[in-house]
Amino acid sequence: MKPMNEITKNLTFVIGILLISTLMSYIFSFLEFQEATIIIIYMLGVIIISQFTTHYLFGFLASLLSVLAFNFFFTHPLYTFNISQPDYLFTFFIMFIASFLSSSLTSKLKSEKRLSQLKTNQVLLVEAINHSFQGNELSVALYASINLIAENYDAEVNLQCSWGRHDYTLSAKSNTAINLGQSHEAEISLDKNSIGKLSIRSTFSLDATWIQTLADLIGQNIEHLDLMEKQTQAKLEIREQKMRNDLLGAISHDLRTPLATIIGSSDTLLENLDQINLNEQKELLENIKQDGQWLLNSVENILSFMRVEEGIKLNMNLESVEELFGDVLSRMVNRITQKLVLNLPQDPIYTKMDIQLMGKVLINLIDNASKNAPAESVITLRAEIKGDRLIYEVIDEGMGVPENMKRTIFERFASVEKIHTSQRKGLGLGLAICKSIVEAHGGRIIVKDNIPRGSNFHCEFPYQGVET
Amino acid sequence: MTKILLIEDDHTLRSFMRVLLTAQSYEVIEATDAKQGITLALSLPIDVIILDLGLPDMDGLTVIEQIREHIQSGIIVVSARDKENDKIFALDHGADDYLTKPFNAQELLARIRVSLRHRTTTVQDTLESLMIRDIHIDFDKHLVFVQNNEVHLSPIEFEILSLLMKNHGKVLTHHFLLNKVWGSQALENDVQTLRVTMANLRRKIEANPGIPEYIRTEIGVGYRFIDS
Repeated sequence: MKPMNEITKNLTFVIGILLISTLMSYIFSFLEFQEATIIIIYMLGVIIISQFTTHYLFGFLASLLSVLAFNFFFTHPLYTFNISQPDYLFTFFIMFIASFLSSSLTSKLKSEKRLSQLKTNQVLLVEAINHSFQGNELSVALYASINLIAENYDAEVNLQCSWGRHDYTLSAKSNTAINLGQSHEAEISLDKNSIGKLSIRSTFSLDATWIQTLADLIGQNIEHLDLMEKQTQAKLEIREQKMRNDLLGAISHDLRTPLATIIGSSDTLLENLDQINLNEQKELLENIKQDGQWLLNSVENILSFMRVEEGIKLNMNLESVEELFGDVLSRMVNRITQKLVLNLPQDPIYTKMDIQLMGKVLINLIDNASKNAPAESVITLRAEIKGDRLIYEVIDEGMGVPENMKRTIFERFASVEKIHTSQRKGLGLGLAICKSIVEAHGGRIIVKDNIPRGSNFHCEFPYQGVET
Repeated sequence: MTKILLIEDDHTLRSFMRVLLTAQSYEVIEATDAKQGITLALSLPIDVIILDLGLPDMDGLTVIEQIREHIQSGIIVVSARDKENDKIFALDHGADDYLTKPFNAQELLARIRVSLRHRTTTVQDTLESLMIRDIHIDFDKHLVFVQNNEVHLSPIEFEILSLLMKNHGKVLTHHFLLNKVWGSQALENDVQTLRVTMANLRRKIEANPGIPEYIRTEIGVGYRFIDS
């Protein structure tokens, strides 16, 4: 799109069409057609020229040249610019006016068409910019917008804006942007405050109001996204609030129920000792012990949940799975009424893990299994290497997990009531902790059905064989 | 023998209540979930039901709704939740009283005794007068004596005091009092009016209104006349 090229191209076109007109006129004149036909042929040439050249001046030039060519080639004396009859002057004048008027009419039509095309372009650009803000992250949307402007106007576009905790300096340049004109700037506002500016250097001369319109458009979209962001933030805060409430609910349930037993039982022993027999006294004492243990468990779970929530710091070391299982077994064997069976492969497994936290996972899983399985049934703790995965499973013969809860059971408080219904006490805080720890180790945890009955809590981790 | 139905899913809590109540010579019947509890409540002549609101299969509040119309038993609600709304709902739907976990044994026994007393003397509307601790109230003549000294109460104060004394030992919710005294037009925000009336009433009958001996505030729920 070089201006010089443009002129040469147009001039070549003018001369070409004039040559063709002259040639055709020559043929018609040879066939002894009247001069009027020749004038019309020239006028047709001028209209064609106006239609396809980029400036009305070329139409004017063509009109002038046509009259001269007509004079030179077709009026007596031939091949001179002299004229034999004075009334030719009048013919020339009419011919010039007629062809010039038709040429400018054509130019006007053309420029109107171009204008409407430009407007359509503007509408399309506005739509495209609006579209780029939909569902996109702010920085992506902003970059997409200035890129659109740059492509549309063969321009170099710079955008600088900052508000709140946002700060953007972006620029885009069209590949075909050369011979850039001077830079135009427009303010971008958010809530009527200026937050930055949009500057455009284009090949075309752009209207200042249009650039302001573009800047306003970007501003409006930023405002909209900003509002949405604030709403999302508010929703997050509500969720956060709900989590805190759920935590309080969990604490009130997990702590108050065993406390009710402990306080009630000890109160009964103190105040009504003479009214209850030895067996009952023993029962009350056992209740106190059992719920004391439960309470300790709940407190530990709440504390580790809070710690996990703050972010897990893993203390990874190369550990033996056998030792992990052995430690868990010794800690759990007296705490549960079920039989705990270990199932380990023949070859020892060594893997990197935080053994404290992994122990907590297994203890919580066994605890959970024990709550749901009948006394004297078997709880199996097994490990297995399967390809590049290390698998731990805690399998019980209890009532299993209903299909609709298999996902939600690991969510922190996601289904407080539902989890509650399947267990005697507790709110699955333990399982939420397990999930966080397993995921921190790059693994995943799911619950499956155990055949013929019970559930299988299945954890798997990436495993690379370790040389020992 | 007085029959008490325990509807409680927690094993150890149920066990402690069973030992305690059996020692008091109550006959204890146990249910571990709501369905079993409802069946037992409807099929046996139960005197008092102790109902945990956090049951595994059904909300305890639903249990109250399902059984209240069919039986005369007293209902004492036990809850780990400290949501006042649950307590108020339970009380307004026919529970006699509530206990928040943890509670002590003597508290439970006291609530059971109050509930039993109200079961045996249901028709108290025909009472002419009542003497509880140092307060004598004459329903006929609209007179109130505290330690034999007459105190002058406004009609509304008298109405509130007589409701509390007729139901001594039992918690009456704001909603219940407002309905009885101001009628069904009473709005929830009239609780403020109730508080003001209660403050005036206390000034007249309590030696130290800041530390009331007779009318205890159950925060967020209502008021209770202390009978012992």
